[in-house]
Amino acid sequence: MHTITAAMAWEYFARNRWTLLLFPFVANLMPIFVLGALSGYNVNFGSKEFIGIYLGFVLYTTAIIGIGVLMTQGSISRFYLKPLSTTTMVNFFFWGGGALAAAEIACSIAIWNNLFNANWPIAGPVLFAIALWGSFQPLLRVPVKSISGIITAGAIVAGVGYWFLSRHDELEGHGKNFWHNISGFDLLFAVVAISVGYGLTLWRVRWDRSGRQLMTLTDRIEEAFERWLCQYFTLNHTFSSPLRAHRWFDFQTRTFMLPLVCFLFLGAIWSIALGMAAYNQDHKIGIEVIFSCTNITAFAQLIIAFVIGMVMIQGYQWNSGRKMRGQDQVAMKPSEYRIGHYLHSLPISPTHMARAILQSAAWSIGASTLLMSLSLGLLWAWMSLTSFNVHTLIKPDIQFWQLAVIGVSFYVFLPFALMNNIATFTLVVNRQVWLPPFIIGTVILIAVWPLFVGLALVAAVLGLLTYCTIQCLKRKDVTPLATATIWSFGVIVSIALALSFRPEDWRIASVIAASLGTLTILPFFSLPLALQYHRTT
Amino acid sequence: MSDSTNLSSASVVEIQRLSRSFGAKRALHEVSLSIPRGGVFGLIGGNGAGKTTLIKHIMGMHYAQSGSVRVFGMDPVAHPVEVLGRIGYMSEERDIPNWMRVTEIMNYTQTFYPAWDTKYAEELREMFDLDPKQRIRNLSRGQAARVCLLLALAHRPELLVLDEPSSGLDPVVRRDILAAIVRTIADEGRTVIFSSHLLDEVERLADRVAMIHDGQIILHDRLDTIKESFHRFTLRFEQPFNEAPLILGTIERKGAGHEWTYFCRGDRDQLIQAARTLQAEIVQETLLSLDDIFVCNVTRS
Amino acid sequence: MQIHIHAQDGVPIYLQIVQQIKYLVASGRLQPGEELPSIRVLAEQLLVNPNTIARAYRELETAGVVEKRRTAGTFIAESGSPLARKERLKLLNERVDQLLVEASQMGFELNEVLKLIQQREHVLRQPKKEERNHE
Repeated sequence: MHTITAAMAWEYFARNRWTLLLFPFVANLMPIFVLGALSGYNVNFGSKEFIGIYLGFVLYTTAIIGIGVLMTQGSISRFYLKPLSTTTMVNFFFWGGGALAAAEIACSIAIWNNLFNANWPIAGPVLFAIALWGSFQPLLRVPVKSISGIITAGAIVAGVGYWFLSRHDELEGHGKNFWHNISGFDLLFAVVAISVGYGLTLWRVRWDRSGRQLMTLTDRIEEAFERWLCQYFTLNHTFSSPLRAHRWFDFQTRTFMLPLVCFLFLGAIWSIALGMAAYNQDHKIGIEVIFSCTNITAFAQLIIAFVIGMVMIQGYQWNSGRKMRGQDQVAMKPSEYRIGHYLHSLPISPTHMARAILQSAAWSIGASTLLMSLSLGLLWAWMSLTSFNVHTLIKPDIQFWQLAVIGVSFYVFLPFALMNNIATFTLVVNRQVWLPPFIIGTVILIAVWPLFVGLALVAAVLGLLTYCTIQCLKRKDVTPLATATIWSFGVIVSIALALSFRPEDWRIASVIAASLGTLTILPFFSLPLALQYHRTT
Repeated sequence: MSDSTNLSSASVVEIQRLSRSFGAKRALHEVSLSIPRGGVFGLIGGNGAGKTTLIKHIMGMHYAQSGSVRVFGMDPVAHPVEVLGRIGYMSEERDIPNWMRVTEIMNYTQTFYPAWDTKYAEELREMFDLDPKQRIRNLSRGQAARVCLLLALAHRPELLVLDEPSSGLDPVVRRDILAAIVRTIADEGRTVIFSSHLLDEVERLADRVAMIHDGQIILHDRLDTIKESFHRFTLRFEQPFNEAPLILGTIERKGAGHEWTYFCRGDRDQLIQAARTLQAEIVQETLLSLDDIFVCNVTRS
Repeated sequence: MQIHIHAQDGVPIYLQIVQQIKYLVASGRLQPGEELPSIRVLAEQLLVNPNTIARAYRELETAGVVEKRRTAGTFIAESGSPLARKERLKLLNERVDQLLVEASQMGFELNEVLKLIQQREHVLRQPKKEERNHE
């Protein structure tokens, strides 16, 4: 028993050497970057003003680290044929993964606290992370059919998320507090969530291992839905060009997730808000809930964008890193996205493939932006109908255009950058072995001078962008006119964003604006090269 | 364009001194190969010998670390659209997007190939008994392989590349695949490259065979020539030997005392002559299958 | 037409086809004037390279077993029967040679072998009669 667990742990760490470092790095990159930029101003992060930022970072880091642990663990079904009891393997995946994720999250917050004197609570977020991890396990260990999976996931996120947010009094909109005290109810909630999750996971894995399948009600609904889809939503035509075909393919396999999640989140938020407003007979509560939760949707979008980017590197490449051999043979069909051979045997140039991917990203972001605008429009209508004073939510000194620029950057350009740059950065990591020392050096330097990480990032991205642009022009992937247009667009976005900050914040503003601007236009030049690299190794 | 077609009329694939290693592991070493237009080219070798790596070079999925690869006279890495558009490919993994329905993947793939023959694709679909509304993830392994085969054939490619097409499949599906190969070369000028470790398939179908072992081509010729140049004789000597005398072209000898079995390469008459000069009597002569030739060549090296 | 290919045999496949068609002609299961399947059809049926079938047909043509008619296809030659007898003799000769070699190695005289052949023939006939009686 002891040796089996030790062997599994060894295999896990040996297989994932660098990936294990990558996820905490990505999870900490943005918080440290923003906090570092802000800390130049002698601010007290422990004050209630920063609770929004704190919540966003905790959710973001939890999600990235959780996804990282899940991805590195791989499928539990590969152990089905080993002489192991189901309890042993579930214990390893459930408790081992949970402990690792919790430790990483605790370390992340401790690092922020140490670097920036934030004095943020650690126990609360860790409890939340464990509860979330535990309640998600039954869904993730054994694949669920899409619709029932989405419904259950939505319910879990709503339940655990409500608990987490209400602990910060986030939903009431006034008197927000940090979650310093853990009550008996919190402990009970976490214990119940984890034990129910553990029991269900054990039960589902046991069923799955013995090859039985559940026909739940949702599966039946799914079947009916599938028949309906088949009748009306089967692709019955061909496309006029490979680019269009691949754009359709990419949208269907990856980027479709973004508007879908946006739709589900906004739907949930609106129903919660309307319910609360009706229950309390008070419009104000509903409006406040929607307003504060819109930011959470935007954060969720960023996380989904990151996942979409990760899916791309999983799908479009096949022979870098340590793959689990025989994964396909043991009780598993090849995953939805690992179809490198097929994709790369299609006669489409990396240039066109990159364009198709960027267009599909644009579609999906366009769709979710439309949904967000619709939600904000409805909110505005609600506010004007009830003559609600906007300035209780937004400080009066912020201009509308500033809000618009920040909103667009945050909702539109940042997801776009996250979605399409991950493939590029894995390209850099795969080719350049000097990256880990560079990262360590950066981390040490920001402890001394926090703004440095921002500058280092901007410099690195700018260098990469210049290199990719030159390569693309040489390969004639992009015309000079298009290059000029894209670059000027990037510059305009950066300047507009920099100007929308307060003038006294010009230093952070320019770093943030420059990094977002460069990251947004980078995929136009780096993606053809990255795809060429992934196709031809 | 006319230049490249002129070049390619001689040979479809031209590989020169190709080497490739993955880290410290040497996958291919100084491979030179010319695959002529028309006919079936069989690539045989053990697991991990380098078959798939070689095929991936032809498909432009690996760049040539040293040496050169030309397909239809072009570099497949630099001209993926031109080269891949004329190739039908089926990978060993047979990894196609499994959320699509059969008709969807046919429609989707059709877009990429201007030469796609809708009628022929439909014929194949009916012949393989594929339900157009099924999702690929719900198909059996054999049916999924048939989908892959359909996608590789429907644009009537000039070159059909099959990497271990029949591994892990039942005999009925294997028959479909072999029949597809036969049909492809029955049309003038079309070429098939297929790798397999099922050597009886190769023996049935191949015109030319290359044997790859440890990243090197150890044998490459017409199948007829290969079969004619390997022989196995059992010789009976007048006096017993502890170690039997060498005959020109001996690859391996086994036996004890008076009777020794020789595995030789060379002209049959010359070998018989050599045996006579040693005053040995040929007790038995057996014909060799490709399997025997492969095993002997590989175990020796 | 029933032809079975054994790729593991070592015997070249075109030769297997030649021999089996000769045998079919010799045993009368292919009649003179009968048409052979086209190269493509036979190749697909046997799952063999079409070039191999073409080579077998060429070989049979030179041996005079089949003849090509310009537009129609490949047919069993009309002069098939004398050759059939020759083929049959050849087949039998091979078996007899083998028997004689083995007999001499085991130290039997020719007379003894002949006697044995007669004996066996007698024995083989008996059960056949019984079978007929049963029917």
